Amino acid sequence: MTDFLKIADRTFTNRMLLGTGKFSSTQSLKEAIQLSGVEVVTVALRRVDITKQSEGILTAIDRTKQLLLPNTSGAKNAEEAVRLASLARAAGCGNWVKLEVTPEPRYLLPDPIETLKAAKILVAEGFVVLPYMNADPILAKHLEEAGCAAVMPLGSPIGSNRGIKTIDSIRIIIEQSNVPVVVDAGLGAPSDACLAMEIGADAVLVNTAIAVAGNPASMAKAFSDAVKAGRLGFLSGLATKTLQANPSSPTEGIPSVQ
Amino acid sequence: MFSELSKKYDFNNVSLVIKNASPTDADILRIVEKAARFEQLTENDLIILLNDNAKKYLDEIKRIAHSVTLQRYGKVMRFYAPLYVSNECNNGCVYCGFNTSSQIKRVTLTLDEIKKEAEALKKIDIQHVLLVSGECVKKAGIDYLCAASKLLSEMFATVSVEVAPLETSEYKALVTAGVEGVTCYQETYDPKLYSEYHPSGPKRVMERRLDTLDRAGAAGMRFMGVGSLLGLSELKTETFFTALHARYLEKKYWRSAISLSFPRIRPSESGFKPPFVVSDDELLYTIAILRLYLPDSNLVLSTRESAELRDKAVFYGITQMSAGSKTEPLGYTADKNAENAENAGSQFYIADDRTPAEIALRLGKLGYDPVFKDWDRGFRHDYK
Amino acid sequence: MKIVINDAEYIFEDTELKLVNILKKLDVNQAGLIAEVDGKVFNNNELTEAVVKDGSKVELIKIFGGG
Repeated sequence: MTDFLKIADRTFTNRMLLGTGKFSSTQSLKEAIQLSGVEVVTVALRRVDITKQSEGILTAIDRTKQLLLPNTSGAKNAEEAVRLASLARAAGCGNWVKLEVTPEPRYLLPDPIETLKAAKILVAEGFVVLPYMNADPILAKHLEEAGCAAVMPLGSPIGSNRGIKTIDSIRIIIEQSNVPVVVDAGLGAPSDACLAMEIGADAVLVNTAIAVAGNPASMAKAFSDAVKAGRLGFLSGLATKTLQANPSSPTEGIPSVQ
Repeated sequence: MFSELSKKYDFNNVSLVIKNASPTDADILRIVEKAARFEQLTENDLIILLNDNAKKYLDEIKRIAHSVTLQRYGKVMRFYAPLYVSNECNNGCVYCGFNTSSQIKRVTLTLDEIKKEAEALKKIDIQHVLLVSGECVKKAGIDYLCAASKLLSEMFATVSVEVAPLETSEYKALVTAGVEGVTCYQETYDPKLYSEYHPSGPKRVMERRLDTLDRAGAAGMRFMGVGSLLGLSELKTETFFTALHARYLEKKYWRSAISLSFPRIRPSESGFKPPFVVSDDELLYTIAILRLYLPDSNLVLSTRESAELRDKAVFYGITQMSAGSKTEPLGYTADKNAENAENAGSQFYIADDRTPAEIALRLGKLGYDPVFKDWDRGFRHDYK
Repeated sequence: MKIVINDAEYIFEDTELKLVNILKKLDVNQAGLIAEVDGKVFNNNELTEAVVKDGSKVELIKIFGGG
């Protein structure tokens, strides 16, 4: 069955994207990537701490198998996001970028105005832009119109693990979008990822729930399997929910009690 | 552009897929229930509803279509009337009364005549006018259409046009002149039949017509209307493509509202007899399933259809009707009883000749609020 | 000369130095490193071209885990 995820000019078989933050070690991350089979991983750009240098996480990533998706986390406005994207490109990360503009540090919600502004600039500069956004259907159309390769609406705030609180709006985005929809942020359990796929999302991005799990590698696989199940469920035509019962065993020919 | 998308669907192949679908009763009911919940139907769902097996669920489909329409539009019927400004035409469409070889009296109205026609329409309560003309750049080119549109936009709440396919820059000029909507029927989405029906004139190029509403959408038109001329080719497949076109426009030109019309070929001067006659029941069924597939679209039924059928269609999902229509230039002011009066050729013969007031009264009895004015140019950002 | 690296001040005796020499002196691992010197970005392959002088502002950036 040829059910591929297509974003820009790339095709993927795995519909889960993995965030690489909050892992206890590079080894832990490497195992999670391998066991889940993800094909896209996000990374961040930060200053080197000269006094305490850590092993680069790039050792956990096989760039022949995983596409590097640098994010612009830390950016508070469009200008900072564009700078980070340019630095990422200069660092050899390729021209894909997860556009993330989160000026408010408690909820880390994306700034819609600065995100759209940055998206237009980055698209013009030849980036493949995947914008992180609140689940706003109109904003999604604006971002699509600006040339973004996908849209990434949040399920709930980053790291909150609260699941898909924005489900009604995400349904609308899925219905109206001409570009792939990747549900990102707040997916706290494999069932959340499964639900996102069941309602028709093209992919999901998961980070915290995997990184801080008891066993990140097997949790990564659990999420990846859930994504596959949800997708297959979506493609197979889900049954309708009814208020009344609909017997699944025949209603005729029931033997009587002697 | 839509032509790029429609290339991916072969007309004959789609016909076969619809014919061979073999859905179970459960399949069909699942789709109807999906529509009842406002969950978007897929192309495969539409194919199932188009398959003959689904017809037996007409009552259920009609019920949900009506319920979805009520929820989305309320008990409201919007009205408009066409104003034909010119029946000059360079195209040789075999089914049309304005065919370039038709021996009808050719008329292009002066601005003064347009004004008088408009006044006559306003007298019968019309506030939304559809400016219609044949395709003749020399007699009714863009400058003329802009001048006519400007005049009409000062007299009516809403002006739409149904004219030859234009360039984006020309649609932009029309927007500036006050036009809010563009209607362009593809006539048929079957490429083979399209070339047979349109042997001559600019209209013979199918791709240009397929992309017309893309060009209108790019110009910022608020309303865009699609439709196939029912009778030209096999109904089910035609319906699939019309729906495909509507949904494509909905998703791409997301600031615009999309309309679907159901023009059934009527007898006209051309004497053309449609090879795929569509029955009343088939027409109503088509309206209902398109309502399920496109719950937000405006579904339009013109005076091509009889009063009786139009009254019925209200309950299948129709949300807009033309009223009091005349399809010839000067139709509203020409004195038909005058001696030696030779009237301009009409595009097709009308079936519902009730006045708007009569239709409004009838709709009131059916529990509907007739709406003549649904917009005001005072809301436009360029209003002075 | 006095230069700033990642907002911290550093003093060196030379008036001009190649960045890679400074990195060696500070024992900075160059793998995956990119540098911005006075607004110009040097990717990992270009580090040997970077030169700092008195007053230079340097950003040393690397790829880290992130969501």
